Amino acid sequence: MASVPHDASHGANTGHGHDHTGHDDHHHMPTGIMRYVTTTNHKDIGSMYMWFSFVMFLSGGTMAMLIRAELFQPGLQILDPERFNQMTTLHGIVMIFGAIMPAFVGFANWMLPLQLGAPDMAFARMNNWSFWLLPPAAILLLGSLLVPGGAAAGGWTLYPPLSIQAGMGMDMMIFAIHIMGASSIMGSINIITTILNLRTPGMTMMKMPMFAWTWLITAFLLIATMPVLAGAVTMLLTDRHFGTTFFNAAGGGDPVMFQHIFWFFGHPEVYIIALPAFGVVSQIIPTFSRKPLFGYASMVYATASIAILSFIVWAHHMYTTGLPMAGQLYFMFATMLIAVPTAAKIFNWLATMWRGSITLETPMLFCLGFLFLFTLGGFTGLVLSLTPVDIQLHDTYYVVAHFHYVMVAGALFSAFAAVYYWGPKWTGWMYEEKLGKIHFWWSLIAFNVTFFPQHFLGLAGMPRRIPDYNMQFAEWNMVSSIGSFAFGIAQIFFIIVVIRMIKGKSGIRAAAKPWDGAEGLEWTVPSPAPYHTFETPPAFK
Amino acid sequence: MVPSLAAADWKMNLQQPNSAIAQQMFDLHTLITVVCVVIFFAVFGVMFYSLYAHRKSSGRKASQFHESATVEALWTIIPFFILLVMAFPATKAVLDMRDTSAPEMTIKVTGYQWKWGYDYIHEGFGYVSTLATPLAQIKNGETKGENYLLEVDNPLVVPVGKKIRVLITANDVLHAWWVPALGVKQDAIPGFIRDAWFRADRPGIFRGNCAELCGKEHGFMPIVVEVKTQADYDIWLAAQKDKYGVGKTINAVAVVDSKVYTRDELVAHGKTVFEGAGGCQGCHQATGKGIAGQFPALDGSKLVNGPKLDQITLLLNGKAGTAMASFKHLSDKDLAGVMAYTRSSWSNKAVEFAQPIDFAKARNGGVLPAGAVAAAAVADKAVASTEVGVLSAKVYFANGQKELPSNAKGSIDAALASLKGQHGKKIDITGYTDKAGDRVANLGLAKERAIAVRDALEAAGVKRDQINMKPPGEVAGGADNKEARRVDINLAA
Repeated sequence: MASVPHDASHGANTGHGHDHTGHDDHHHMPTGIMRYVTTTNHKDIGSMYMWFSFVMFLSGGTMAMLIRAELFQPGLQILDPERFNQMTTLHGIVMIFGAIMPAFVGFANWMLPLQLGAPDMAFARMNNWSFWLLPPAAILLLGSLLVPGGAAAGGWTLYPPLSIQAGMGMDMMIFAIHIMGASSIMGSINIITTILNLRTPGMTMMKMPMFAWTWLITAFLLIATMPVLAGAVTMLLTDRHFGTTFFNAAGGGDPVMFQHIFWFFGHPEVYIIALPAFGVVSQIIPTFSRKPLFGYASMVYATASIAILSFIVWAHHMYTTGLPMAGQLYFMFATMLIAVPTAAKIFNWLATMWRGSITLETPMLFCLGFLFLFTLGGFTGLVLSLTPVDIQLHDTYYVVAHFHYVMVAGALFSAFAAVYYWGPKWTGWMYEEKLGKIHFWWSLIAFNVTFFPQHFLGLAGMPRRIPDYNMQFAEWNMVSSIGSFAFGIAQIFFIIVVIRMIKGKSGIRAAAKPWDGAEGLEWTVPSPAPYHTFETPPAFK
Repeated sequence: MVPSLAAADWKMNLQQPNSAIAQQMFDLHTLITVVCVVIFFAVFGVMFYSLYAHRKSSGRKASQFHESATVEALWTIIPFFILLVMAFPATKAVLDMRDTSAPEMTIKVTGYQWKWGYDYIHEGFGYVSTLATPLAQIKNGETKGENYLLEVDNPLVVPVGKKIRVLITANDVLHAWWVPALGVKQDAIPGFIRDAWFRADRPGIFRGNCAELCGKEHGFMPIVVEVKTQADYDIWLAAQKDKYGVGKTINAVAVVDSKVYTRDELVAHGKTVFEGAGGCQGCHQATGKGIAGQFPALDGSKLVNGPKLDQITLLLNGKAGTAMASFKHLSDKDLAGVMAYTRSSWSNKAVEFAQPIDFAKARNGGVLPAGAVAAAAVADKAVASTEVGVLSAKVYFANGQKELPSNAKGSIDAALASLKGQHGKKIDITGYTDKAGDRVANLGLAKERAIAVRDALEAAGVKRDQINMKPPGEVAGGADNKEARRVDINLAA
C-alpha cells in the first residue's frame, strides 16, 4: 500500500528505458499530489484504491460503532431514531461500495498486470478516471450527513416508497451510486480487456492464476448488474422529482418492482464481493500448503456456475413480499442449488491443504479464518434459503449475522490476507509476523463475539434496523456491542501494522519471492515492485 | 413488571410456536441446523486434522497431487442429494403456508407510519393499534416494563383454533406484519393486498414487530395478538360491536361532540395528545421545530397559523408522498385539541382555532352528518333554536338496498328531538331512488326505504298517526348519486 518508489523525477528525459529492474526514466512525471492526480500507473492507482478503501472502511466502521453504541442497552441514548437509520443505511453503502469493492479493485490493479506479465492495465487513462470518480462519490455520500434532513435513511436497499419520502440526502445517495457505478463499469472493462489481451505469451486461459479468473468473472457480473442498479435508482429519482410513478401503485406502478430490479443487481453483487475473495484465497492456500491448487479446472467451473446462478435467485430476498407460491418454490430450489458449487470450492481448498506441508503465517491464518467463518455464513445462507424458515428470519438479526459472516469474514478477512500476502511485494518490507498474528486472533475473536450472538437475537425475534428493543434482547446485544468495539480497535491496530510494514519496522527486506511456496509471475520481479514492470512480456512455462 | 434478572434468559432459539405453520418452521429450522452442524464438524474436523498432521514443522514434504475426478464428482453429488432431502419438508411447509383457502374469519391489516389498523371486515368495525409504551421509558426516565416496546393500546383479538386469514396492505410505505409465534410475516405494500393465515393453537398474548423498515418510528410499531377462547372472544366481539354501534337497528355512529370548548380546555387536551404515545412530537418534536428536511416545523408554520380548514384537512387526510399520515382515527376532540395546542404553542399565536364539531363537519364533506343535527342542537342552544323549526333530516341508503343503514340513528334522533314538546306536530317521510332501471321497481324500493325509516321512528316511540307517508320519488342520476338514495324526514307544514 506504499507509494511506489520511483526515480523518474530525478532522471533526464533520455528516451526509453527497458530495464526490468525498474530504473525507468523515460518520462517527466509530476511530483507530489499531481503525481497521483495524473497517474496512469497501475501500481499508483492500485495503491490509491486501497487507501481510499481504508478511509471508507474507517468511516463505515465509525458508523458501525455508533450503531452498536446505541444498541448497547435498551432505550434511546446517543442517536435519535432518524440518525440511527441514516447510520445503518450509510454503513451498508459505504462498506459495500466504498470499502470492500475498491479494496479488491485495488488488488486487481496492483496484481493483475504482475500476475499476467502485462506492463500495465489495458486502458491506463480510463483507469485513472475510474479511481478519481470515487472521491466525489464518497464526498456526496458522507456530505449527505450534513444536509437538511440528513443522509438517506431507508436502508442500503433504498426501498420505495420510503426512499421517495426522504430528503435531499437521498438524491445525493442516488448520484453517488451513479458515479460509483460508472467507476465500476470502467474498471471492469479495463480488467476484462487486460485479462483477455495482455497475458504474456504462453499463458492460456486455463493457466491463469485463480485471482485473474475470479476477477474476470466478477467484472462480467459488474457490467451486467451495475446498469440495472443505475436504472433502479434513476427511476427512484424521477419518481421523486419528475412525477413518474414507477413504484407508486396509485399511478399504475408497483413498489415491489423496485425490489425485483434492485435484487437482480443485489444478489450478483454478493458474488461481486465474494468471488475476488475466493481468488485471493485460492492464491494463498496453495502457497502456504506448498502444494498446487486442487482441482483448478473445477474451481473455474464452480466460479462460473456461481456467477450464473447468482442471476436467477434474486427473489430469495423477497419471500415475504408475497411472491406467488410457485415463485417461492422456484427461488428456494434455485438458491439451495448454489450450495453445490460453493461447497465444491470449500472442498477444493481443503483438498489443497491435505497432505501438504502447511505453515501458518498471517495470510494463511486469515484464509483459514475466512474458510471457517465463510462456511458458517454459507450454512446460515442455506438455512435462510428455505422459504418457511426465512419467513421467520427475514429482516431479523439472523440475516444481519449471516451477511456479516459472508461479507466481513469472507471478503474482509481475505482482503487482510491479501495485504499481508502481497504487502511485501508492494512495500519491499516484511510485515511483523507477531503483530500480524495478533491482528488475526484479535479480529477473529472479536468478530465472533460481535456477530455470533446476533444469530440468537434474530431467532428470538429481534428485527433489524431498530434503534431500541425489548429487554429480552438486552444481554446478547450488550455482548455483541462489546465485541464490535473490540473489532473496531483491532482495525486501528491493523493500520499500525501496515504503516510499520511500509516504514520497514520489521527490519526484514522482502525478497523477490518472500514465500517459499508461492507460484506466479508476480514473484519474479523485485520487491518492492519497480514502477514499471514487464515492458517486454516475460517467459511463461 | 418482571425484574431484569428474570428477563435475562439469553434466548437462543425461535419462539415457541403457537400454530401448525410456526411449528413446521420451527422443526424445519431445527432439522437444517442439525444437518449443517454435522457437516460443519465433519468438514472442519478434516481441516484441523490436516493442519495438525500435515504441518511443515513435522518435517513433511508436500505431495503434489492436484486433481481427482472421482472425489470431485462425489463432493458435488453428495451435497446435491442432501439438498434434495431437505427440499421435501420445506416444500410441504410452503404449500401449507400459502394455502389461505376456506378461512373461518378474515381480518384486514393496514400498516401506517407508525401504527397498525385492524378491520374486522365481516363484523363491520375496525380500530387502530399503537404503541403503549410511555415515552419516558424509551427516554430512560422510567423503569422499562416487561413488555417494553411490545405493548399496544388495542391488540388484535382472535378466537383460538379458527383459521384466520389476514389481508395485509399499507397506507404509506412498506411495513411487514410479523408475529413469530403464529408463523406469519407478510410485507404490507401500499396499493396492493397480500394475504397470510394462521390458526392459533392455544389462547394467550403473542407479540411481534413491524419487520420492514418504514421510517423513523419503525422500531416503535409493535403487533400484539390476543388469542381468546371462543367464549371469551364472543364476549369481546359483542362489546366491540356495542362500542362501534354495529348491527343495531338504531346505532350510535353519528354521535357528535358538539360541545363548545374554551381554547384553554382544548390546548390542555391537545398537549396530552401531542406528547402522548404515537403523538405528533415523535416527528415534529416537543419544541415544534421538527427535523430540518424531514419533518416540517410547526412553530411558525404557515399552515398552523393559517386558515383553520387547511389544517383540519391535513390532519384528517394526511399528505400524500410524505410521512404525514391521516389521523382521522383520532376523535374530533383529540384533533381539535392538537390543533388548538399547535396554534397556541411556541411562537404560534393563531387567532382561529377549531371546535370538535368542525372536524365532524369536515369528515362529512363540510356539513354536519344528518343525525348530528339534534345532538348539536341539544348541546348548543344557539344552534338548537334555529334548527327546531326546520327539521330536514336525511337517511342515505346503500345502492339497491332497503335496509336501514347503520348511521341512521342521528336522523331518527333529530326527528325525535324536533317532535319533543310539540304536540300535534307531524312529520313527512319521502323515499327516493335513482332513475336507473325499471321505474316501478324503483318506486317500490323508494317506498320500502320510507317504510324502514317509519318503522325505526315507531320503534323510537313516535306514534304512527304522527307520520305522513309521502309519495315516493325518483331523482336523476345513477348509483353515484347519493342524493338519489335517501329518505327525507321533514316537519309537516
